[in-house]
Amino acid sequence: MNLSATVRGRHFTFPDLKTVLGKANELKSGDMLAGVAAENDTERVAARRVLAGIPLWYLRENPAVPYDEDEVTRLILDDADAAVFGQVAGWTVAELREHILSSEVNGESLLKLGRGLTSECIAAVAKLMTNLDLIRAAAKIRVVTHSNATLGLRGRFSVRLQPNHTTDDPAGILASAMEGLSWGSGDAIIGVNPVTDTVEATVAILNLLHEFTRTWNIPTQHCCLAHVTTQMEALRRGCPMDIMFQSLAGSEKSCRAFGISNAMLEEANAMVRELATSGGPNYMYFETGQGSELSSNGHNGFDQVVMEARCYGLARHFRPYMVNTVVGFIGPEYLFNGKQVARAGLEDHFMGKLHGLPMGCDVCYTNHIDADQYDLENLAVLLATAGVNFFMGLPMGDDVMLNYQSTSFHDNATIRELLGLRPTPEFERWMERMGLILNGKLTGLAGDMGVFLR
Amino acid sequence: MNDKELADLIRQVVVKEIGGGKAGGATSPTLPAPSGGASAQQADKPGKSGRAGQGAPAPVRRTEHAASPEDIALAKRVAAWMGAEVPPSPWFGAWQAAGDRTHYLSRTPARLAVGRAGTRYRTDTLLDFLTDHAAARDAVQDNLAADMMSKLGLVPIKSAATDKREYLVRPDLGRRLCDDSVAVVQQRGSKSPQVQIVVGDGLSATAINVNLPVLLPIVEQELKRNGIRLGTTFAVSNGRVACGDQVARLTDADVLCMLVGERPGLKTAESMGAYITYMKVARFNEAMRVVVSNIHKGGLPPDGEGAQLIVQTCLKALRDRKTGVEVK
Repeated sequence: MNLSATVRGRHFTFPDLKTVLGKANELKSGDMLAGVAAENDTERVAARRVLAGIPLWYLRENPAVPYDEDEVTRLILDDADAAVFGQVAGWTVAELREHILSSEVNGESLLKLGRGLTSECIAAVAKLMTNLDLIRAAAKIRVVTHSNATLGLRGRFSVRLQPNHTTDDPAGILASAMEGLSWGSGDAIIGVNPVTDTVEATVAILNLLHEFTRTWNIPTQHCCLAHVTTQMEALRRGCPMDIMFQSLAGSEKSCRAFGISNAMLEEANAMVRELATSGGPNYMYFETGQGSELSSNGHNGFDQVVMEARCYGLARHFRPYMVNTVVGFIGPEYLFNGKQVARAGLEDHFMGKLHGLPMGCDVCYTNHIDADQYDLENLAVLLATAGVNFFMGLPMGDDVMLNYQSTSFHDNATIRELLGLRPTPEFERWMERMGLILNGKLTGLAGDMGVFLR
Repeated sequence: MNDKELADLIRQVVVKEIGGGKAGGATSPTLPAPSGGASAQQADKPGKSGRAGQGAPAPVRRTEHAASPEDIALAKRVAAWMGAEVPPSPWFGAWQAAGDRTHYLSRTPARLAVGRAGTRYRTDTLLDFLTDHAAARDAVQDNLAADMMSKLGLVPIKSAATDKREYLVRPDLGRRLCDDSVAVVQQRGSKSPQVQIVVGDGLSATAINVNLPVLLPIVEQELKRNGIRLGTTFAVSNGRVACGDQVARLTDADVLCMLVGERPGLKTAESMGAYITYMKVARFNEAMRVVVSNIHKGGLPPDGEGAQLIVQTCLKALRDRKTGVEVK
């Protein structure tokens, strides 16, 4: 395979595919920390020139971790549709990029193509795409899923309500949940990160959300973001649960650091299918984020875009109800500033959609990265334009438990008004009945928990 | 099934189930009224006019494709949720409000009931938010105050990270001391203390500058009162928790008490954490640390519970000759 390129008279030869993939990335502090980033812009563009000429079969045959050593690799390769891949195996990454961007190619055709591509192929093409390329391509693809309501229809933009609380106080959780619902947040899901990962806390939170949503006939779904083993035990105890959650990583070693395996995810998925209080056919919720493989030393020398793509390869096996990257949470050693976070958010959304996943995004930042509210707002508009399925919704974006900022009730309502987007059809009807929305516009009752306290 | 087909199918089923333009649904006799009929009726009105405003659904376009039984079942469930025939959930009515708005708002520090300007923040709430965010960002860039260190008798040392930027992107450098500081610890640290206190700026020097003058004298005095031999207290700039381990090994301490500034949130930029570790173990792992978190005047007060918990944890570590969980 040709791994050489000449840029402005300078000749570059890369030792292997791994090096090409790493150096072809946009600048990210995590790739520098891993020692895989390009040394300068000229080397970066040389790596991209090499990558552009690499055929897809070569990427498929050289996964980030060998087939025999890694169960995530085995699952990704075994799941990829061989017949579909056969039609494009000889394409170069450059040809794949231009096919994806072609005006003649629509979202359904991209979804079919995506089923044949391995995660490494999808990561490779993302590296050759500009930010607007990533938006244009992702916007073609709609991925529709269903639990109690229908997520991801065109013209719809949904919100995971995240009513986290410093002590899991039920009234405190409900205070945020009620106000958020009145804003139209919470149509994707109401999901609480518990303070402590215990079965008792999980059961208490899920019971609370179940009683509340069923009493108010809210066409949404709930989950508690404890570890999957904790949630399984809650289910065994007869706890109501609409959706089961788990964080994913892109290699067997890093999954093990998260305390999960393919078999455990299979078991969890089977159990929630049988015992869930929701309608299906999609039951799982996954979160991912660039950098987690390096932090658990499970990246095998690969860059964080490739490893993130493999999370999506793992996720699609379980036909999840929703997936999102928590893009600005991990810290400055992986994504240093607002520019790097925005790039990662657009990459992740595109890569997830091409994998056929119902992608949302936790557009967020911690206070120790070089980003602020304006960076968050900018990325929110970019991703909403790219057709993202959902964002998070928090009171003024401030997560008082996890100590970071995400999108707020106000932000999500603004995005909907600005871009003419609406909640899920079922949820919109419920809001109409509650008097919270009229002709697609929020009424004076919106933004006040009082509608639930009359 | 693509989204257009699904939407068409849903529309067909909904129209069939609930008929024509009367998709308001809330009047369906099987739909339970949320917590009392009066509110249900009240809530019902905008819904109906909402439908009228959108116009009645266009005549149903019969699609040619035959839907599978699964698709029809799915669409029926959607229709059910849309109000056509919501089966009463056994959980309906299981929830009752525990109080009024004031009650709920009093139970959370979340930024609720802030009003709105259109869909955006009101100006005063925006400025409050920016004020808290500014404090958080400044805390990350802040430095340990020289006068605070000299007043408390701390010996200043440095990690291998040369500045804040390097500190933030190179966690490995923030976890060990620079060579000069290793020499300082060797020269000035009193040997074999029972408790070695180390201070690090972590992600908020502000937290240290604010809390330490209050907390440290209490902790030192209480430990001494219990007959505990303390080491020389060092303060590491650009230092993470692991710098403390290195100091404790150099001074051959039994227990490390590492005080660091925690990652600032909007609620407070002044939160400090204490990581207490029994050091005389053959193989160390992170699960062996005991953490006292959230020490600030709005959390565990530095002049009260915060200081007391640190003292008790140190004494317990010396008594038990271990901390944390043993991981195989």
